Amino acid sequence: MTAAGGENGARMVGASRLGLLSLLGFGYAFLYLPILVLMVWSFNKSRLVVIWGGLSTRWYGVLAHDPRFLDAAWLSLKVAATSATLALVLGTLAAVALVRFGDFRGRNLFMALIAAPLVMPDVIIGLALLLMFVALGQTVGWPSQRGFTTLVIAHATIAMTYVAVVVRARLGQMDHSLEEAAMDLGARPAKAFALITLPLLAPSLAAGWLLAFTLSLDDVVVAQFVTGPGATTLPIEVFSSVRMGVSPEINALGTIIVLVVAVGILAAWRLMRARA
Amino acid sequence: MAGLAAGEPALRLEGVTKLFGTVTAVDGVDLAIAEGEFFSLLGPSGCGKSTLLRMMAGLESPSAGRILIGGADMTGTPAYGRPVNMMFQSYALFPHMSVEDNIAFGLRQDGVKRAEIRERVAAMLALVQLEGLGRRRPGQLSGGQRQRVALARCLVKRPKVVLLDEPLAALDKRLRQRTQFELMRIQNEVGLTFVMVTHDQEEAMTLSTRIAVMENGRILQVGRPRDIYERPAGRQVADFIGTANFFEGTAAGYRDGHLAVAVEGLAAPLLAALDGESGDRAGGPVTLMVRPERIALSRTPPAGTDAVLTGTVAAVAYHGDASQYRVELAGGRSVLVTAANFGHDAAAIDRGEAVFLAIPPSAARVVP
Amino acid sequence: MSGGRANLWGARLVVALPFLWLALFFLAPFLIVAAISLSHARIGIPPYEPVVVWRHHWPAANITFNNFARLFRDDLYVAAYFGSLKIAAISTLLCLGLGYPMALAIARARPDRRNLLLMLVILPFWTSFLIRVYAWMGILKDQGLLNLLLKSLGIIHHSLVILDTPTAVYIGIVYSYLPFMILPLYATLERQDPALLEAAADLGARPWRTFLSVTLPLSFPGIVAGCLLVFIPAVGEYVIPDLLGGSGSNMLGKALWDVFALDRDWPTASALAVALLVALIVPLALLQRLQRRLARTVEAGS
Repeated sequence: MTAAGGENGARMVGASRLGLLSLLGFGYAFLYLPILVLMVWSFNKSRLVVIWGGLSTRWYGVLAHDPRFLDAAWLSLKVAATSATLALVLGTLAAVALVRFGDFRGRNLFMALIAAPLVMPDVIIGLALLLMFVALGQTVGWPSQRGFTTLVIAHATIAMTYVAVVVRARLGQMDHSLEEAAMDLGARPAKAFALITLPLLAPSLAAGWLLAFTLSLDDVVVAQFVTGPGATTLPIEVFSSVRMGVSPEINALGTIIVLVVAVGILAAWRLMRARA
Repeated sequence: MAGLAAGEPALRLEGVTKLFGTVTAVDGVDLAIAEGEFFSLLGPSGCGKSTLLRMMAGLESPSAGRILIGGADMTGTPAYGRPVNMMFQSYALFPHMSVEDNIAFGLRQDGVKRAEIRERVAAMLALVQLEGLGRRRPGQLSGGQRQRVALARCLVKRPKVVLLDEPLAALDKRLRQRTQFELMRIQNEVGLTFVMVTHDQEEAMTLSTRIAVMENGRILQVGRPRDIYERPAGRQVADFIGTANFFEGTAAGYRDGHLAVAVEGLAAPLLAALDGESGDRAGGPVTLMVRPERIALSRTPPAGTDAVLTGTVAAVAYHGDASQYRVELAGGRSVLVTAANFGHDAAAIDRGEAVFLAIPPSAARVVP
Repeated sequence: MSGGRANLWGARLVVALPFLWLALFFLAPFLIVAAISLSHARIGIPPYEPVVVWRHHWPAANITFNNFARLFRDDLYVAAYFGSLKIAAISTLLCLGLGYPMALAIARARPDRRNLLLMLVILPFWTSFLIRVYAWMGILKDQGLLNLLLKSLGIIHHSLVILDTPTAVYIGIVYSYLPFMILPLYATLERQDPALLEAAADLGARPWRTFLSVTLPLSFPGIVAGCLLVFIPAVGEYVIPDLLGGSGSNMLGKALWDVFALDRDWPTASALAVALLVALIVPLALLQRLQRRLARTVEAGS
């Protein structure tokens, strides 16, 4: 390469680097500006979203006294915590089955069943589960009504596959001889699993539970199908009020959600860095 | 150890076989390992030695055969019920437990009292010279320190048999040599039976009282290191342990208590040690093995009655303490010769020089 | 694995529990959807006739293909079918266009900054999807912030109509699914050996040429994975077209909900679900074949 060519090359590197970085900046702006705008406008005194009526926490007060949102939020938290715990147990068992008991009959069907919810649109899952619950109710009389239980079952079914993916990745990396060593030293298989495998899986179990919790808290489509009268989750409540248009109360709610998540993630991140 | 019938081996395998699908990993192995032995399973990777060790540990169950530990049949006993402990190649130290907790793990499974656990763990830390590091996590230790924790963990229960799976493979060469002596000292001190799997023949020779050489799931030879090196049971063993020159020829007769073998392309017959062999081989085909260090190399014709060959040095590999020469004989055959680089004029021998090789009578061995 | 009978039973339980759960709450529901898609609609609870009836003490099939025929006859559904595929495909390409440079920039950033940059991509995923889509409503509407901003800058004089148009749906989908595109792309780009680029440069390739002949082909698995992760949920998307696309937006997921909830026509909703699955499976199968062929070429080439 000639000297001129080399210079030219260097300039091209600089130009393409600049292009990359500006696209990166644009991407982050695209991801964060809408949230930022929402947060700023949640402090708008005016009910009209286009007019800035001065700084105020009025809508937070309105939100805090709105029983619709409070009840829905409480139900959503209960559903999310219960379904995430159930999903954690089922997903971990599924991951152990896939990694530790390599060959069993029906393994391919099992793999397909584990992967399917990940690539299935929510509307189909919601409809299928609802029809299932209706058919069950008709034939065996359970569930007699839809609400908390059906929501938990639906969310646990979807989330367990996410948990299985997360736990399976970690379990696959783990040295199997750790468990063997525990058994060699006198621990029965179940004890070896409890003393050695579970503690080592803890970070991915926590991640899996949080993922399942978030999926449940965020779901509106499946919940709309499988819930019944009297059991309105927060996303359903938000969705129905948002369909009517932009409302300052939702701005305040969104701000709270974003702040809670941001604080939670930052805390988890710092904890992980401190450990490492 | 108490409770053992006199003369009962610490570990006995009877016709142990392991099939993985259609592949035979271990093929009808019989073995008896006496108490206090340092026994090595030596062989190339994939020869079945690790599978055999895992069957001894109870981590793999044999497809056929019996495994007796201290005289008791333990073929169907799972790993957690056997009085043997294993040191894993990866060490398998529990990363979320301290060094002390790792060592104490096995004792806790047996419900040993706290005070006794503390005492025995401290004794083990002293034995492997890790005093003061008991509170550390495995991740905070060096490779050599981790190796010693793994050893302590499998010694602390005073098992009838200690199983070591490539215990030194993860260490660098320098540390490995030092650790070999360390391992010998520890075995002497605890007086337990050790069974080690290794692919490193030097390691096996240094450490073991006896070695079993394995290939393709079978044991080719069991014996003391010296026997295996000097009297290999076959060409495969001779090839795997050290380097060897082979000569194929015809037995010409017996001379001075040696077997004289006529080898094509060699002017004089080679004389091989008889090893107490009494049968008459005269006229039959014979394979002889000569170790490279047993051949004397010189520029001038050597005196004496040794079989003398002539050739040209084709390659020289300098190893410091010794050099290895590849000498091409007149007939096109090449012979490997190792000569010490001390007090010897061989140090100056170069590629292309004409040399004389002398093979003393006891150097050649008949390979069955 | 060794051990006694107890272990075997324990192992069976570990496999059986999640397996049975998925069979009951995932596999069985789909069989029911397939069955109901063939049933006759009726007015009542449930709003469909049983698929199997007893006639003279013998079970007999009571099925119809009318629900599927209706999908083909009704232009609305045909349009929804192709509309979903089109919107999902274009959104996927837009995601790739923005996501690839972002992933590349993160992968080429200083190693100590990569984790932070990546976390900033993932962070929005953990916040409410609904709230984030909703935030765009306030920005895109006629009296919204975007129009306000453009007007005050003098770029436009009349408000642009963006909300309740396909453009808003594209914006919403790209915004919501961008992280799913960036993550797999980053994973493959980050794994690439920097020595490959140096080797290409050493052999005389200009940066752009190096990108086209080394970086891009090696990142193909990431491109395919990212596109699938965006395309699949986008085809069945329901919330975004409902909130941002207005009444005119026509996608299968929204049509399904409308038929189910407003018309209470469960058989047709089930037929739509089956159609939606087919809409997904066909491009998925094509992509998988492409991916396999690519993997083979890359392997053969390296």
